[in-house]
Amino acid sequence: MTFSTSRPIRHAAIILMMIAVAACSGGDPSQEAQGPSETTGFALPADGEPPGWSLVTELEHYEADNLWEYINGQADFFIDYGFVRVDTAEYRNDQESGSVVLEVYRMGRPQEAFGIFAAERTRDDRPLEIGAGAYLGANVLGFWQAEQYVKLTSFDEGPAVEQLLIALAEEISSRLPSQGHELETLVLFPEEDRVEASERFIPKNFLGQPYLTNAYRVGYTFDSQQLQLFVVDTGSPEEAQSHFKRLEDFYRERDQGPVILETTQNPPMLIVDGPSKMVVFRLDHRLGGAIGMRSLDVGRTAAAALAERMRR
Amino acid sequence: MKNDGVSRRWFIGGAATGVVSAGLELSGYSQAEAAKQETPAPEISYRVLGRTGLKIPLISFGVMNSDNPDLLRRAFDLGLNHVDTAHLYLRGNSERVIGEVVEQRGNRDSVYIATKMRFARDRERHVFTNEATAREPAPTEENLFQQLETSLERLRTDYIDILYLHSCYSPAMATYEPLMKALVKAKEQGKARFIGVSTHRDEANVIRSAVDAGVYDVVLTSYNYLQDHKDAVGKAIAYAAGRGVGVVAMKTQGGKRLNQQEGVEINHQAALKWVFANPHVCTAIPGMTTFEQMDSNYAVMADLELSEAEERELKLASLLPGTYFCQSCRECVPTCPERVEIPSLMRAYMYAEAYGNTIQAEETIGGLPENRGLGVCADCTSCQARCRRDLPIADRVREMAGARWSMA
Repeated sequence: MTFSTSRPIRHAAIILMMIAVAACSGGDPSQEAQGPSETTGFALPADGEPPGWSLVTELEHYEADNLWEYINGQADFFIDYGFVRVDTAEYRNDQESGSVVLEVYRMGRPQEAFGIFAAERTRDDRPLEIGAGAYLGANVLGFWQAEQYVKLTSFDEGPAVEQLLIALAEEISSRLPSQGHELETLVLFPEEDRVEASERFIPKNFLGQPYLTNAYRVGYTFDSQQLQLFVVDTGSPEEAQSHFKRLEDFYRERDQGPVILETTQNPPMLIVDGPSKMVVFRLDHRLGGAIGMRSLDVGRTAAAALAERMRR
Repeated sequence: MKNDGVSRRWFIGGAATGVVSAGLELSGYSQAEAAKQETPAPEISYRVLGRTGLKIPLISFGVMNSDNPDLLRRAFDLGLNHVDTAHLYLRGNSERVIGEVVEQRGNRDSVYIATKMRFARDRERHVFTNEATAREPAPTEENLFQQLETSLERLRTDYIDILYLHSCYSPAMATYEPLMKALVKAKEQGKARFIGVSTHRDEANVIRSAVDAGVYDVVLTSYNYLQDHKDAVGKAIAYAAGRGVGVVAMKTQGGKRLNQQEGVEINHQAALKWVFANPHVCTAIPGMTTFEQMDSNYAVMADLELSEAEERELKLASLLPGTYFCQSCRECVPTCPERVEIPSLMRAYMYAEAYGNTIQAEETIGGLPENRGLGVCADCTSCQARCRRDLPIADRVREMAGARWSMA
């Protein structure tokens, strides 16, 4: 499944029917003691497994405390996205030259795995249907599945290498302990006019505000008019009300343009007409809205449409 | 929109020329609109970055996160005009968001962009290796220019202000001749105005060797009040400054992990002031993901004096590692006859005792090889392992071996 085809809603409503191929870890210390990869409920393939692939390096793993040794400055970003652990090793295919580095990042929650997957996806990537969603770049294939973000990076490029990456990714996907999962908030977003592969999950500091967590954002375009719609799950109507007020106060204090609370609309909308325009509404335990547009009219209409979908 | 019942009309509005791309959506924010905006009163403290002559605010912006381009715009509005990123961050998306915002604002001439190129290294021996991996290219001129051209394209510019050799573990890496020559060539071609090295291991020696190499204009180094070796790093920074090499500080808060630990209160402003108390540090590049952080960091420039209370806070925070936190220096490992993976055990102890996260503790312990793990300690009656920070290794190991959460 992918978020990047012409039917993103269906893809967004990810319901994985994959059968768990291994018991989840955590309950059986005797299993845990057998090796690092067992603790994630997933074992990186051993030498010669899958057939045609040899292990070039030793298996390595990193946790939050030493992640920077592995990915340097990116570590902070991954930690913000709920990073728990990465298992990695390099493999060589018997038929092709070069090698493939396999990285299996375990994040705290499926949406965080999706979030880091989406953050690393680029506009040049080709969407694939592996796991819950995949991208294919020139020499890299990434996919997410349950709490895992899996990345395979090849030494070489080209069609033959692509096929190898895809085959190995599918093999890894089949080995992951998966369970049915749905990013149900993404279903709230309109389907039409989406920007391909623009779905994001932002776990914290959405809109630069520390209290806005668990945000989903999707890009849209229409006749050169671009914007993003967003939905923030706050946990309770009271929290939503509080966050809505804090946002209003923030933009009033910032004083970069008119800030209007339009109560004639249902739901009432906060309109920020500054250098960066914004429309925000509150509905039950969620905040929703539109950002990034040049025309507030477009933002209002888009936000209203989103609110209408969220009511259903 | 027949499927969802929402009319297509909901999108109809005025024309626009904004930029939207996958994952890097930018709001419609024109140069003209930017010009209309009032900028806050300038309270910026500048220092000169060594021989580059660049006048840079003390606070710069480490741009890893591409989630919110508005933060970058806000930084530019505030006058924070030095942004730091790296070729590999988020597969180039960090560079892309900088490129798009700068192009949109039309302020390339007033922004200083720094990025970094990374190459294959032997993690044990701390040297570059010609055995490239799929993740890291071999350290050759060809590969440096390949990365550089890609970064220039992402950043939508034809020059980098400061081009770093990324993450040098040792003097040997900082002075690796093929890459030094390639960096010099990039500078001669005008694709890099200035060149440097970045380091967060063996920083003092890396800085000195980079300075002595005679080709680098800038060093980017870890520097914070929590470092055991902060005095050595401080002296190396002075050494660099004395020879005209500009110094940029990173990891000034001690690292994200520490800052996420419950019960640990880091005074971020004080931590920055501590760094700037060294007059040879030109600027710091904290990562900022909220407006609050940005405003707080910005405010530091108005008053660089560390108050007595702030000094006390830093002192207290610096003592915390002795309470719970192993710094993974690994000096304890050789003191154990069985070479038990003590740093991992200490990390497990921290998970369980400091955060109450026994699952993570179990996972850490369970991830160790049998001959290097907690089981070895359980069979040992006289622990000889020693920590240079005096962490009570034997007590903690004994506690873990008998604890419900580690043996259940």
